[in-house]
Amino acid sequence: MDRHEAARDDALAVEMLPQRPPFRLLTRAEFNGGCARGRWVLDGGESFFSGHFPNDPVVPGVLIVESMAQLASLAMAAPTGTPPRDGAATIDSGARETAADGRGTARASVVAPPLLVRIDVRFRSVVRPPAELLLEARLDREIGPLAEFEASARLGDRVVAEGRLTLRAGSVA
Amino acid sequence: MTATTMVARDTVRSAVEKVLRQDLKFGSIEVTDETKLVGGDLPLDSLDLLMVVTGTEKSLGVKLPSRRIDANAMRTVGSFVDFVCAELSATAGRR
Repeated sequence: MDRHEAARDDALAVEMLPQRPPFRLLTRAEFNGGCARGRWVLDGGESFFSGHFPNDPVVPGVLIVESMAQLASLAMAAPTGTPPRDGAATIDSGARETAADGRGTARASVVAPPLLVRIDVRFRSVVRPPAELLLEARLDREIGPLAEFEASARLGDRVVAEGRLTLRAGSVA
Repeated sequence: MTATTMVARDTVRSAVEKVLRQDLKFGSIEVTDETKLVGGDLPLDSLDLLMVVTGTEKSLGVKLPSRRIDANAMRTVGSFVDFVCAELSATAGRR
């Protein structure tokens, strides 16, 4: 697979998120077997910086957590052991299925996204734009409908946030 | 049961009870081995049950195998304590 194909598939993974701009925070993502890596690129022009804070832009910690949770939701959707570049994961009311058309192209759709139900995250340092946050979410355990992830956000080698997120499969009742 | 495993069980039992009383805010309720975790005495949902597991792990400094945590293990306080003790013994036996 060449670099162009890899970039296309990274973008496809992000397309699987039910969130849409401006609340789709991930710029790129890839996942495989309960582990996902992604990035959130902030150029400083995002609307929330006008108020957080005036003349002193700081990325809201709650949005860093949201970006980690969006990535975890992709890892939760990923069929175990199946790289996304082999096909697209289709999520339908909690059921998991892998699909590909055999020509290297893939399709993606998302129904009933997992819900974030618990957050235990520590923030290590302030993030100011422009910034490229490197995100990682790794599935630690699943019990019933719950999936617990170890997640982190880094600027280069420096961890700016890390902790555990718990997601619940299925939609809001 | 040997004296060693008795101490271990008391330690595990205290850890579980502490999670219920402090982390899950059940405070002064009576907790016995027969206290049901699922479908009974305590109104625990799935997230609460996960917190029982993770809180106990954190208190004891251990990691429990998710795949073996089932409804039977989580049925009562006593069954969960016995499950944890069995896992600790199995882990110690493999060292």
